[in-house]
Amino acid sequence: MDKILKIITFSVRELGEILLFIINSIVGFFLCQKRFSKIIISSYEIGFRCLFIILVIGLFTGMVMGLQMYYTLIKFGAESALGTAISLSIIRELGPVLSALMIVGQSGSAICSEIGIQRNDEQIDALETMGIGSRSFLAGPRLLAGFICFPILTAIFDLIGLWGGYFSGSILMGLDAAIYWNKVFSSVQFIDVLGGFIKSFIFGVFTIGICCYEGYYSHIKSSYPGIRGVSQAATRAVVKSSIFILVFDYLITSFLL
Amino acid sequence: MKFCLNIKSLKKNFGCNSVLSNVDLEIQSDKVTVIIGKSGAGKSVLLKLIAGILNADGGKISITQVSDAGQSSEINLKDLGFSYMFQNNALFDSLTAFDNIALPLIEGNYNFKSSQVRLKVDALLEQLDLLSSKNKFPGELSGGMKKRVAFARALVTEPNIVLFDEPTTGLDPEKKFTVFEMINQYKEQFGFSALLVSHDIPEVYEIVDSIAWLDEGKIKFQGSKDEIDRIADQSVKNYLKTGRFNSKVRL
Repeated sequence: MDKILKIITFSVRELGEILLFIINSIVGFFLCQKRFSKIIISSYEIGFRCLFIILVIGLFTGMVMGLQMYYTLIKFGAESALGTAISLSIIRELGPVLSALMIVGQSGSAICSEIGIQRNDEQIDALETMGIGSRSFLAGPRLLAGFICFPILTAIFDLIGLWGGYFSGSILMGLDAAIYWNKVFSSVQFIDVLGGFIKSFIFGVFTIGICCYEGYYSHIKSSYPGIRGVSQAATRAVVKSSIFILVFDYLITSFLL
Repeated sequence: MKFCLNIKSLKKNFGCNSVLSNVDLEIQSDKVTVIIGKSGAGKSVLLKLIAGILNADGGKISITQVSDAGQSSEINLKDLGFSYMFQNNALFDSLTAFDNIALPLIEGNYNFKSSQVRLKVDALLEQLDLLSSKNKFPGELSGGMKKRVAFARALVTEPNIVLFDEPTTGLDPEKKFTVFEMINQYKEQFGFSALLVSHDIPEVYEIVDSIAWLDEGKIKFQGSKDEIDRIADQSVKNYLKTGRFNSKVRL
């Protein structure tokens, strides 16, 4: 029991530290108005570089769901509900969660490693001695880029996923395309789309925040110094971000339903 | 600007390991002061404490500024204007030499227009013979050029004091001499005070006004280069002898 309590206390404290890091970085970023152009570079890092993986994962997730659900629904003579099942699952859950996991794997680990190497190389100390707020300089633009890019990539994932479902459900399995798309459009409500976007906004800021935080404090939080410490930090960043995504997906869903 | 940097009873521990136990040091303006000592004595830690990169566990670092009218007031290092030159230069790999040098002017607490920044950086690039490397990335520069870019970045804000953390690490004897000469030359040209951490004895003596010997967490000696040669302490003598021997071997 004591061990569980310790884990909970540690997790809450860590989450608080990350939240303070995020607030500090964003406030510092807005106070120094010279850095807005950096959001474009960070958006390229987080958004554009993840586009391909989002397209591939989105398409195949939709296709797999189309196949699996078609075979399940046909047993009950309810294959016409395929559009409803795929659209709600993707827009409410799979879109935000899988997109966030993919972006963390692709960009989050890279961000953490880059900041960790800058810490190792004393570049962060150099920023501080130059009177430049290192958190707002390094993490600020990335956090805002995460806030912008996660919902966009999630929307792309949702669209491609629906087309993937159409491909396997209608083109391959023979369900009437009109039925599929009619069910998609009739069953998706604004609140479903909004719920998905709320999740992706939260995932965007927090997962990028976790990755920046782990890289920034890689010299303190890792058990090894140097490059090995950076690799530990990158692993921690991906694991913590993934846990955050799944736990908060449940919490936000239970709040929205 | 005349100032005096005073360090009193400075302490720093890492866990249960006491690195600096009771450091007292005085650094005068317009002078070059070098901190010497064995590896692991805490020289770089002391420099980082002065720069505010690390926090001390005890003691005080104060700076007394003396105006032209003779009035003295206490200020902090940021108000005095300082730069720090890191052992490995700490240049940003993704920025060109120009952007690295311009970084403190663009991102720091200055209100320069981009045309002013360009003028300032270009002038410095010319003075440090770096104009041909202006658009090169640190990865494309030689060790000596990287040092000069780092030096230019340290000087672009026109600091009153520059802290050098082992500026000649990894350089051959000829390049070491060039770096010391560069520090000396630019000190005259730009008029800054310098605080160095160095192992290069006796080469570093050529440019210094004051030497501080850090051993066992304390400054055991501070004085001029003539005074250190007359010191009776055996550990200092041994250290200096080894330094001079190594220097002869290198040459």
